[in-house]
Amino acid sequence: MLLVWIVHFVSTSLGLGEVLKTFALALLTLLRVSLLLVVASLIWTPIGVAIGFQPRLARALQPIVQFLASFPANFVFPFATLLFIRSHISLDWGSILLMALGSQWYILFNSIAGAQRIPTDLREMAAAMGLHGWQRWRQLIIPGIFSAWVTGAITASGGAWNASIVSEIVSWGSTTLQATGLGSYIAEATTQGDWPRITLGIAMMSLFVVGLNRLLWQRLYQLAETRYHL
Amino acid sequence: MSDLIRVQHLFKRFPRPDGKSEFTVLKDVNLSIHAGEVVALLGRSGSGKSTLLRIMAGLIPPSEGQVLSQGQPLRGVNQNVAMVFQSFALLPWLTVQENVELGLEARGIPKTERQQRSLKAIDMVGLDGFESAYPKEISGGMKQRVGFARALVLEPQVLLMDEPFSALDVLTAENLRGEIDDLWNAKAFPAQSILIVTHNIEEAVFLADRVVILGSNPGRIRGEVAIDLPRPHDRQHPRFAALVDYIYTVMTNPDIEVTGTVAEKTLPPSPYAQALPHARVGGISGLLELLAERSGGSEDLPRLAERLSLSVDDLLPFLEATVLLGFADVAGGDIRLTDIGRDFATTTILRSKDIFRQQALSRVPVFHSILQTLQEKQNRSMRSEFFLDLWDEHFPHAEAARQFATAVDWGRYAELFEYDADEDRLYLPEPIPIS
Repeated sequence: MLLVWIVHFVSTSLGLGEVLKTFALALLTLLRVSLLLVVASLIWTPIGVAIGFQPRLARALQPIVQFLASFPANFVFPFATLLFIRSHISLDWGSILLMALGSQWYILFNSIAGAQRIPTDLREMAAAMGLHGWQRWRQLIIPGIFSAWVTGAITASGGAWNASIVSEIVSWGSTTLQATGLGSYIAEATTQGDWPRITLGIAMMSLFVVGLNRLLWQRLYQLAETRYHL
Repeated sequence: MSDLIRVQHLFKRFPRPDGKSEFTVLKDVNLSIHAGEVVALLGRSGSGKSTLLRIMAGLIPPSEGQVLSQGQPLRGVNQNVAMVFQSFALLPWLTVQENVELGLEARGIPKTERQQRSLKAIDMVGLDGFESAYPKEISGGMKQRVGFARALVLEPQVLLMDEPFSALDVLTAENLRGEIDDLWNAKAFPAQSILIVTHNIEEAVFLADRVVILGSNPGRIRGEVAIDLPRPHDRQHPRFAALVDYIYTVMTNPDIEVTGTVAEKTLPPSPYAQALPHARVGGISGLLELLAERSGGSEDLPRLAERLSLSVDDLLPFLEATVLLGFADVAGGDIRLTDIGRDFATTTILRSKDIFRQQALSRVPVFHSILQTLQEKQNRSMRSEFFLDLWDEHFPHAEAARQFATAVDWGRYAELFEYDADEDRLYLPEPIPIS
C-alpha cells in the first residue's frame, strides 16, 4: 500500500528522471559508505584484535571505546568543517570522514569482542604451530572474528547511511560545504520542505539499505553462522 | 642419551588478581627429556603440569630458570616440539587436511610436499578418506586423531601431549591410547620422544617409561617412578598393578617421599579370574552316579565318552568340574571317584546338596566371594551386574556372562544364594547357609 502510494506520489510530481537522479546519488553515497567500511576495517580491525588479545588492555579500553561509540559525532562536525575549509578539502571526500566519526567505532568495538571470543586454545595452537603474519590472519584471526566483524560492519553501514544526511552538507559560519550524494539531496529537500523529494530520497535510501541487507549482509551472516562458527 | 629438552631451576609465578602479590605455580623444577623415551608428567590440578608443558613449548616464558632445547636456551616458540591439545584445538573453518597442514605451511614447506606429508600423517592416524571433512562432521575421537596428525606431520623431536585423551569417552580414549602406544612400540613413530601431561595414573603407567610425579601448591617435582615393564605395558601384569598402587599411594599422600622403589607386591589372584567349567550340576551328578556304578569307581575316559555318546571335548567341562569340586581325580587317562565324590553320588538329595555346598565353598573361591558380598549387604542381595562386572575384568563379555550363568546354576543347587531373573539380582536364601 505504502509502496504504491510512494510510487504514485513521486511519479506524478517528479517524474522518472528525478528517480534516476536519486539512484545515481545513492550510488555515490554507497561508494562513500563502502570506502568508509573498507578503510575503517583496515585501520580498526588490527587495533581491535590487538586490544582483544590482551585481556587487561581490553578491560581498560572497553569503556573508552563504548564512550566513543556513543558520543554524538555531530558535535565535532563544526571543527571538522573548519578544517576542511582551511585545507581546501572537498566535502565529497571529507564527508566520508564525517560519516566515519560516528560509525567507525562499531568496527573497533566488534573487532575487540570478536578477538576476545577466539578460544585461548586455538590461539595457543596457532602459536605452537608457528603461525605468523598473513597466515595467522588468514587462518585464525579473520575467520575467528568474521561474525563479529559482520555485526560491526552492518551497524557501521547503517550508521553511515544515516550520517550521510548530516555529513554531505555542513556549514561553518556563512560558508556551506556540500557533497554530491543522496544524503545532501535529502537534507536539501528537508530544508526546503519539498515533500515529494523528501519522500523520494528517503525511499531510495531505504531501498538501498534493505537491498544491501538482502544481497550482502544476510549472506555474510549466513556464511558467518555456517562456515565461520566457533 | 642426549637431552632433547632440559629444564633447569625453573620457577613460574603469576600475579594474583589484586595485582600486588604473586603466587608460585612452579618451584625449582628440573627435568630432562631424553631421546627415545616416553615421559609422563603426573599431577593433580594445581600442580602446574600444563604450565610446565607450555613453558617447554615456549608458549609462556618462565619467571626464573631456563629451558634448553637441544642444548640451546629457548627463545620464543620451541620449534623442536609439537603439541597435542586436550580440547583438540582444530580450526573449524579448515578441513582435516588443511588443519594438518597448518604447521607445515608456517614452516614454509611448498604445497606439493605439504600435501604429500599431510596425507601420509592422516593415513597414519587412520583418517584416510576424511581429508576434506570439516571438524564438526567428525567425532571427538577422530578430532583428536587430526590433532595427532597435525603434530606428527611436523616430525618433532618431542611430541608434547596435554591430557590428550581426557576429553574423550572411556572407550574412544582407550582405543586411541592403544593405537598411539602401538605406533610408538613399532619404532615407526615420527617423534623421538613423548612427553604426556596427565592426571590418570593408569594412563601414565601404560604409556610412559618414566612417570614424573608433581606435587601441588606450589607445583614441584616430587620424584619419579621408572616403569620397568616390557613394552607394551601389560595391564594384567602384577608389576603393572604394583606400580599403579604405589603411584596412587604417593599421589594421595602429599607428604610421602617419592623414592621410586616399588616393592613387588603379590596380589592374591581375584576369585573371579578362575574360570568355572561350564558344566551343569545335573550333568556333574549324572557323571558321578555313572562312575559310582563302576567297580572301583573308575573308568577309562574314552570309554566313558563313548558310553555317554559325547566327544572328549564335550566331556571335558564335566571332568574339570568334578575335579575342581574334589569329586574325582583324573590320572593316566582314567577318572576315579574320590570318597567325597562317592558320598555325593550315592547319598540323599538333601545331603548331596550339603556336600556340594561344602566343596564349592572350600574349593571354588568365587562362591566364597559372592557369599561374602551378599552377607555384607543390608538387604542381603545384589544386582547381577555387579558380579558380571567383576568377571568382565578377566573375561570377554560373552564368557563373563557364561561364567555368571554357571555360578548361578551351582550356587542355586547348593542353596548358597538365589537368583531372581526378573529383577536380575542375587540374594541370600533364608536361613543363612552355614559355611
